[in-house]
Amino acid sequence: MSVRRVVRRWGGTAGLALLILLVLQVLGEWVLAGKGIIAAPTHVIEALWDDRALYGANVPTTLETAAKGWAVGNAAAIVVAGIAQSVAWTERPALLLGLTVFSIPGVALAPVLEVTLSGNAPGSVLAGFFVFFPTLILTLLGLRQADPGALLVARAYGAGRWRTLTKVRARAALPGIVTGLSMTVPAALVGAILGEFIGASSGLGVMLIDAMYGAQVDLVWGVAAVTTALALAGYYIVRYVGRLLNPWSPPLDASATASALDLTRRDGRSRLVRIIETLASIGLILLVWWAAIPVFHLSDYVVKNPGDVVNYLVGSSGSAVLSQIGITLADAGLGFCVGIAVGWVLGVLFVVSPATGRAVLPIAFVVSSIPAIVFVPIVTLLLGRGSLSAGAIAAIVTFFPVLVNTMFGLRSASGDTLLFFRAHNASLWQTLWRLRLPIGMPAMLAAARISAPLAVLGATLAEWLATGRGLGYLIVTAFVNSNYTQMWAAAVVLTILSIVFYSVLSVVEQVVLRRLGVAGAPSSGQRAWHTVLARIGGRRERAPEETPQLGNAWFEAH
Amino acid sequence: MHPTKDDGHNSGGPERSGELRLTRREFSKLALGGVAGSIAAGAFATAGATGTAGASTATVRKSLQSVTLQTSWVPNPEFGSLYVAEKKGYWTKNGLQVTLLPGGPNVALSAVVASGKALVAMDSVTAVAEANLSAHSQKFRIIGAEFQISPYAIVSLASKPLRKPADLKGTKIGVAAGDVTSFKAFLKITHVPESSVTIVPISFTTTPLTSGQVDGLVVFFTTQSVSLQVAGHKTVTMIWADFNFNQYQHCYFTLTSSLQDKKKELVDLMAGVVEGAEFYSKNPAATISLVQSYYKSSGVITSKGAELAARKYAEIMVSHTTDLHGLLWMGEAHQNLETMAAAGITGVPASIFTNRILEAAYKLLK
Repeated sequence: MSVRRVVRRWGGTAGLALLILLVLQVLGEWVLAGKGIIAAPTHVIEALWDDRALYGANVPTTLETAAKGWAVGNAAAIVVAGIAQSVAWTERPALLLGLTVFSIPGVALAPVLEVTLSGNAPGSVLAGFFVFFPTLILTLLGLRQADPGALLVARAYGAGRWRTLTKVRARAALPGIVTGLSMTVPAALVGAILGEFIGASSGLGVMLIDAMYGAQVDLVWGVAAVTTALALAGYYIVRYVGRLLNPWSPPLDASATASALDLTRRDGRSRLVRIIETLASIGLILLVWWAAIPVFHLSDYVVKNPGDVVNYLVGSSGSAVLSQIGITLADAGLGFCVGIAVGWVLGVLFVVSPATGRAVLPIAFVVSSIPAIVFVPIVTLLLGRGSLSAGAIAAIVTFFPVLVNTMFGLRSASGDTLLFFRAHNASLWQTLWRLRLPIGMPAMLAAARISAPLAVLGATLAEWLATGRGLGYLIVTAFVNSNYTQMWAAAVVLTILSIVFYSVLSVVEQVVLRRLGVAGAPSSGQRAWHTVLARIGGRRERAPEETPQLGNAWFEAH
Repeated sequence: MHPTKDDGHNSGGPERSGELRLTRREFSKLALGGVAGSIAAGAFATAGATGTAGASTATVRKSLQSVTLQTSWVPNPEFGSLYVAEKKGYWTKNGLQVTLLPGGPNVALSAVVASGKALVAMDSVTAVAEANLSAHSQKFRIIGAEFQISPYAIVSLASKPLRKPADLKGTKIGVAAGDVTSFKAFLKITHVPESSVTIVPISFTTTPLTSGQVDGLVVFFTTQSVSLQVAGHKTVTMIWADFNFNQYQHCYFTLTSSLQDKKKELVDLMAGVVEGAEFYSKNPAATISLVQSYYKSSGVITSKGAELAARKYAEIMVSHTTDLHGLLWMGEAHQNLETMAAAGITGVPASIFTNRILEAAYKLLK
């Protein structure tokens, strides 16, 4: 890259970053000095240098824990995606399992992981849980959009399912896999840190606990900065390696994003079959839960089975949990609406003005990688400790994946249609309204749907750290009082809420798309044609950095 | 991948017995020996990392009985007695190999004990009573109380001080979820109407106080008060114990069934804890310098405030009861139960405390 290109690509970002650092400096040094909320960047740097030995002693632990979870979680996701693609009936259970794992509140998993595993293994498992779902969807997505021509050739030469999977689809899935591997790096780090909250003697999480407990704001921000820097470094390293492995592959297809992981998706099978599959999937998850207790010799004091949870919920004390549902739904709903509104509006803005997008997007990525526990004090200072704060925290956790997917969707209008619009002298607004929005709509709606569990988790986080009510606070109270039946009941209710929220959005999405007349993906033929055109013309509609990132911020919520 | 803890950790330590005080020379010899040992083992960064380390050590010393003790927080001066017992070999001399599991904000202490992963853990009296309530039985019993005086306090900024309970009326107090029950008990005992105080949920950070979002924070005067002071904030600390809040803290608890099944291990374990506590309560500064070389990755233990915190912990370990019966002895069961009743936890039998293990431990130490 020439110097000029580097400046053009990163100049805006660097300028903006400098501006933000300057604002932080003014706030930390003067406006909010001594309040323990914001550390001035110069102090953070000074503290980083002073504490270099401390970081040296702690960073490797967290990195090792995160790397193990990241590797195993992603490998599992890729394998499961391969199975789900080859054996049709396994897809629904796999997706439901992924969604469940994605939606379970981390705090509820803590006691189980703690009593069954030792050392830093709980952190690795949490990291693995956090990375599994995004990579699962992205891999499935990639597998599905294999070039139909190549598939046809493979079939003509007598390739079976397995051969097609390994020779054609796996190749096509590579960009999706790379995207999954890279975007889950921050989530793996947060999983490792959360694991340290369950019990650890060293690591970035331990440093964070000490710093927060000890009113050392420079250290809190230092740990946040180091965590974010590690996340960014991991992200770019994986992307770079991915590009070396796969230099020519086309980026992911937006319309496929929309249909991936749609639990209510119609795929030609009868409604009855789909209902049976869904019920069987739920039954399978319950069975695994039930069987795990005796198989792993889990203590029934800590781990409750589905029967205990149902008995509790229908019993006299069940109302303690059920009465909080409304509060959490309201908090999550507010956060969801604000989050998707911000994501959509910024997404449109960044596509209309690519220079703004180039400058702001990396900053948004950094913001979404900061552990939520660090920014909660700022939010509560500005907005108090009511619904507004809860909504804001849920929105912060939600907006980023929506933003990225919106940009991605809006940009997936092909080069020749854009050329057509330009040839007819269409205004920016007309191009947006008549071309980009209809084409981007499936991805935008899919992003909203995938953000639903994030909004719920974000709301519970806010309830724990800021408002002190709702299911998020109840689950923590149950936890500290060793009331494990209540804790499991609250966790189950929260998980069901997320899945229902998600499924309702799926239905809404289908209705909206059908009304708009953009239902379903464009035919494979069209897609292949676009790919061919893009290759011949050497045009690339999207830079590799702009492939979809489903849910980069969701881990905040765990 | 944790390095094996080396025997060098204990080299230079006194052989044992009632000799608890070390001369300065003996101490520095001990500390140097320890450091040399950890260099030899390459254990600088992760010395004290538990779990796998404990397992590998157990294979080295086959003759030792393995026991696991779960602490309630990340490495911290609060556990000074245990670190002393570990580093000075108070357990190994009784044939016990103790693995100290680190805790944290999300550690589920009663779960770890219930599952058998740890024989003993530590928590507040209230937490153990609540765990028994959830189990619908006297599942857990407290076998020793290290902090005889409650470390609970409310810290406020000197610019807006809260010195006595009456000052709490009309204020906003930041309370972590785990401390809400105790705080309500404190309000009840000091006749402050609960409705006159706004409880603000916090995690484990002091930011709500320094940023002015709350007027006071429920803390341990041994930890957060000290760190706020070290960080340069001018604060006022209202210690609950000064206002008749009688509750043990840092209570070692185990399964009721273990009182019989694992009696020998429990006695050996508590004997080491008692010896560690005796050393710690008399030499808080020496304890901190001893552990600082092993917990280099801990910001708290290596911090400036560690010694000050240690001195405060040393103070709350001793009471009239401990003067008579020895450290950790539980002689005020009824006051503790009354405090809990104020929090609405009633019907807890006094037998939740048992001095049986301590009795045997003190016999062993004689």
